[in-house]
Amino acid sequence: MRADATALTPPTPVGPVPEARVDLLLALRLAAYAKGRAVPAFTNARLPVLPHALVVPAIALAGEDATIHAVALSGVGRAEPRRILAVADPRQREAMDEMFGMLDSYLERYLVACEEVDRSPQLVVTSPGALRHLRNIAEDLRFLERDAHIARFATNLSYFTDRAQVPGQQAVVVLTEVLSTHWVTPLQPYQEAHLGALLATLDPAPDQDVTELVRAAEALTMGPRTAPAFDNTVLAPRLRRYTEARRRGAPRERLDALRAEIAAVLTPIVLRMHRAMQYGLRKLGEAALSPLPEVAAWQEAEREAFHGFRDARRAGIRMPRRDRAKGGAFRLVEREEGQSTLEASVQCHDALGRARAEAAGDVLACEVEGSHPERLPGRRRRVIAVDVVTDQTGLRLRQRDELTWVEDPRLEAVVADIREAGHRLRVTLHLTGGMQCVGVPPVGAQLTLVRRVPDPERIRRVRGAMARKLAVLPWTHDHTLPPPAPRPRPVVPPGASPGGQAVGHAVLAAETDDHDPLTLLEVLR
Amino acid sequence: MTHGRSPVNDRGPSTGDEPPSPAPTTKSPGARGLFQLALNPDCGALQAYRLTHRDPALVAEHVLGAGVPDEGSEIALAIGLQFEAVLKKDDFAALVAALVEHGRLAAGAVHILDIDAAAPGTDAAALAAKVRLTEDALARHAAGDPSAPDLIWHPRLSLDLRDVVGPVLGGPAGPPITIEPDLIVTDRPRSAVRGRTPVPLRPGEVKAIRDRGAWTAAEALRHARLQGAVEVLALRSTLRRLGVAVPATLAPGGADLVLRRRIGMRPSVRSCRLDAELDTLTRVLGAALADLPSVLAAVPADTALDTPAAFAALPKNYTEHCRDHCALAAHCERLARTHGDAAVLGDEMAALLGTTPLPRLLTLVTGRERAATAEEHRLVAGFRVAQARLAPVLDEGAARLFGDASTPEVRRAS
Repeated sequence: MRADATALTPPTPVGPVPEARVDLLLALRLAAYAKGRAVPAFTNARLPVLPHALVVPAIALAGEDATIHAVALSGVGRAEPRRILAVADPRQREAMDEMFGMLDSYLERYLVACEEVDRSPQLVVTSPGALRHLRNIAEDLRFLERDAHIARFATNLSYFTDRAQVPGQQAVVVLTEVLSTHWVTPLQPYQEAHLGALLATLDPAPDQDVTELVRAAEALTMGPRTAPAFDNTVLAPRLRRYTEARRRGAPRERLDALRAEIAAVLTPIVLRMHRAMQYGLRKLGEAALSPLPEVAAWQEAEREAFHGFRDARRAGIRMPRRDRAKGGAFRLVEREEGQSTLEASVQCHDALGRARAEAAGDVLACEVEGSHPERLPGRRRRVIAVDVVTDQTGLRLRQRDELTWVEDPRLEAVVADIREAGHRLRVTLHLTGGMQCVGVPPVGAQLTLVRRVPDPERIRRVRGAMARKLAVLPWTHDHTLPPPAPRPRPVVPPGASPGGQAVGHAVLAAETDDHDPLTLLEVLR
Repeated sequence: MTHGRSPVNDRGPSTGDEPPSPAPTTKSPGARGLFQLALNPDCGALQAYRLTHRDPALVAEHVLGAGVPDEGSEIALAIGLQFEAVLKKDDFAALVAALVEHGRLAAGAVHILDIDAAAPGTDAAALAAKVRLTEDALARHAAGDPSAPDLIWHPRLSLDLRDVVGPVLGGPAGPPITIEPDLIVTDRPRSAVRGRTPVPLRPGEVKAIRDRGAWTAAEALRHARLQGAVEVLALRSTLRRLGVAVPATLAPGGADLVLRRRIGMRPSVRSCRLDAELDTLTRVLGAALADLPSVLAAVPADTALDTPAAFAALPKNYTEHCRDHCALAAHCERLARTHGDAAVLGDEMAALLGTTPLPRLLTLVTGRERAATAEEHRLVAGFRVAQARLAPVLDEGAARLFGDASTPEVRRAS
């Protein structure tokens, strides 16, 4: 495998930089501000929503971020959720256990159904905060001993929350992140984490003040927390009445009525979240974004990860609380490779991604001026040198960088020389692959060369190599090795010299590799 | 004090011989108010209000007419109080057990001083008693008295900002600020030190958030660490006033967070080294005090700080994260939009545009006016290059990328 040049620090730009360096996304954000609405951004889908995805708007009780106060269970394209579950007081353990038990049954049926049709599951949540909420539940409860169903629910949830951390994953759709990938809004990026605020910018009526729309939207919670004003004026009085009634031992009818009161104020919230999520999913559907070519491979990888997860649970293998060194190493590599592949895919196959990379100087967009064979010192065979020119400013390129042609990755080259030619840059490339199968690029050809093309299969090769290397753990990480046996201290016979060397027939009983200075002093004394 | 305005004695109107009633916005900053300065060190409004002992939330409510007071959820507050009650139950049994497990205390007899129980109430006499009890306990610690309490619950410290930043140029640092950590505990069991060697102390904060290791709520932890750093400074300041020559020896710069375990109400202790936070706070407080006269100079001399005009005049630094911690964020955002401040599109845009307002930039990039300064030329050139690069990407073409900039917001800001 070639050394991955993307792992190296990007070089400082070459050539003049007269104007302000403006990220294309910032330019789009200015355009959104000028137009008073969101504008389209990345044009290719990285995380398509699957038709069988679970849509799960949920809210937690303030101060208890691993509870579910109310949740709607739904799918893609539904006007109404299948079910809405709510508990009166999530601090009441029995009620929360019952809720989690029902969710376990629902989620397990869903996962079994996915297995039967050989598809990977997918979960749709509103925002990164909603994902954190589910992760809190998964982390806190998957080792719960008193209830195996809750532990199973949390373990199944852990599949989604763990996979969500891998770039290129297809298991969790965080709606605000996906929408803000494909639309740039006239908001602060931080504001885009509120689903209602983001949706308000997608399709405002002409001459409608989007600022006022956003302010109105932000006043309504999109989970997982409810607003303090709602808590203090609406929820807290009802919770107090319910708690008091339970403490007094009120009759069942009274408690049912109080529970219904609490559910009645929570239900509109999850319904509103559900409507917003369905609207966001509809907008994604209407955009009809073509998936990146790597999506098929990512979906296949997701399927394999899902089956591996289910097989491990059936075999009784528990998910560890903390990774050990080997497991952690595999996870880190998976994330690094995922990030690298995702970035390369966007650079190569997404129009905005490629334009951004060109503007940032991360890819070389050039025109071929000519080519000629060149003899390098110490090498018998000549190399084909191709001279190209580019108008790019701030190009991040240096000698010995390895580049690949985006249109046909078989054509590979190494940067031999970079020099200024007036207001342009002239780069000499030595072809290192593809001279026969692809051919030397003709004069006038427009090339886009990147450091790395996406290779979703690379992670398999890396994992295989790691598995072979780590089949025997290095001694620094192998806790199964017994501790070194203590060696007896050397016996210094009477008459030995101060240096510890034996005199006459006295011998050292055994050598010691203990370099404790105190031990040495005792020997020498 | 320049411009005839005292930074810390700006009170409401006086009525004859009676002492002037404090303005409705008056409130000592406390630990939260001081560490808030570190969250947005370039905001003059925060500096002006906090260092003159005004609460931005009260300013928002009473001066700017926010309508809804800035408050947290009383449900979350109740959970926090419930957690505290669990810690205090049976002579702080759960808290002591957690601190013993963490090496702060030795198992066996632990001397606890509950300041709340010893001096209940919030009237002036009770508060003065709390201060006396706290200082007495700390003085005994400093003297190495073995009868000094191992754990002080709800102590009352005071922080003189001059102890943090040295003599403040240009004016007074204001009265000492009361800081009330949840607890002060010995750094290690008394049995671990010999004779009358004073045992170092560390403040502690009780938070009802769950301890999830690396997954613990990051923002809450960050705020708690900053709060802990303020409490370390307050502890040092109090010890200095009690005659301790080198307070940092007795308050080395660590704090403890008492959080909830993942399930239930049992406590989990997390130790924090706060060197970075102490450095940050020292730097931020020093800069804030030094800048305060020039910040207040932006307000006309005949305008009280508790007025909308003063708020509008104070220099502000509206950022994406203001809404996380400041009740004035919504008002600053409205002002920023009115002035076309690039911060309304995020910190990255604000850093790029600097002082160039958004409507001005749109006027330049659409060619309706020409750039007047080198910086405007640079920006226009950069956005035009971006516009050209976006041309192959956009369905509608790049020519109308920035439209005619006639939205209600742009018209309002122009």
